[in-house]
Amino acid sequence: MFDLENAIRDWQQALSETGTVSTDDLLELDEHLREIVAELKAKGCTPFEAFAVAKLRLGDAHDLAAEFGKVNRVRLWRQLLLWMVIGYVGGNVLMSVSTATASLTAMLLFVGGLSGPSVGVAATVAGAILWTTAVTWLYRYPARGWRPTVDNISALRMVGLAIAIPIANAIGMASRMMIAQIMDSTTYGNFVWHQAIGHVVYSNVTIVAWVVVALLLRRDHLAPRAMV
Amino acid sequence: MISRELIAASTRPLVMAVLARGENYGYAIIQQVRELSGGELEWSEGMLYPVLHRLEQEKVILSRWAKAENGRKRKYYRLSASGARAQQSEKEQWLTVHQTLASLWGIQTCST
Repeated sequence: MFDLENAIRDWQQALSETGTVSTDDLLELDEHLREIVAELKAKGCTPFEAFAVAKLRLGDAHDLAAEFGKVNRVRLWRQLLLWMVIGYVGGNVLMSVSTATASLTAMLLFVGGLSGPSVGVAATVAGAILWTTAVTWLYRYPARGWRPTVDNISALRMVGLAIAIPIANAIGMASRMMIAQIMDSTTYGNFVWHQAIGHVVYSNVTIVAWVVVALLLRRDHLAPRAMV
Repeated sequence: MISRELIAASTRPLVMAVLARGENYGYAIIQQVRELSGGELEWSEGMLYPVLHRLEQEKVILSRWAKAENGRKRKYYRLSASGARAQQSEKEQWLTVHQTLASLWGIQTCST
């Protein structure tokens, strides 16, 4: 059964997620859409038919978003700025969490009886798995999922994201302190040395990985054009 | 049917001309243009709003939110004082183009 209110909500959501259409713009477009629906229903159309035609008459969501973007330049810029802030905070969260994961893994393995270079290698691998999982998750994030815009971003969500940094730092710090406490100085010296090598390899591989991600995104971007 | 380019170029003077007749809102502006053009001018209706908002930024038109008879909020637009002058200049420009084309095509006009 077709639910007009649901359909209107979905349509509004799609428009608002473009980030260029403001709340006031949405209100105006919503009023317009409802006027067309009322006009067509009066002519005998079903709600489904009326909604389909109204949507068509208002125009494609992407074209509309582009036109609104030309007028709402400041809004568009703030939207981009918001993404940069989210990217910066999110990147720092990932960095802290991966360091904490690596330290925690090393500590647990050592407590579990492992020693030598394998601890450093395992710690680096744990961090790498975390990064790969995060990047894969972001890459495959559903298009219909929640997308932050200057309207729907809440202080709670941002604080929730940022608070992961001190928590992860505390876990990482505690793990490293624990390692320093339980290892004898020679083993600890070797461990730090292995970890330092791991870190150099790791940070270089990370950059290569990001370039690969960028290339993948570029391929996705080009695909629909090639089809035309 | 009118071409896309001509529709894009004529939206601004058409909106100003409708608003010169009095305060109005998006849906009704489109209805008026459609009726007067005998259905020849088909706008992608949502595109009207960016045009209205640009005119508003240029202070050519003013707007206010009011409660409509259906109980929902509606944004009404009207021509400002400077908008009335801009409308006069738009009118002269379009008439110049119109008269030039009419003379070239040998169509008699009575606008002189």
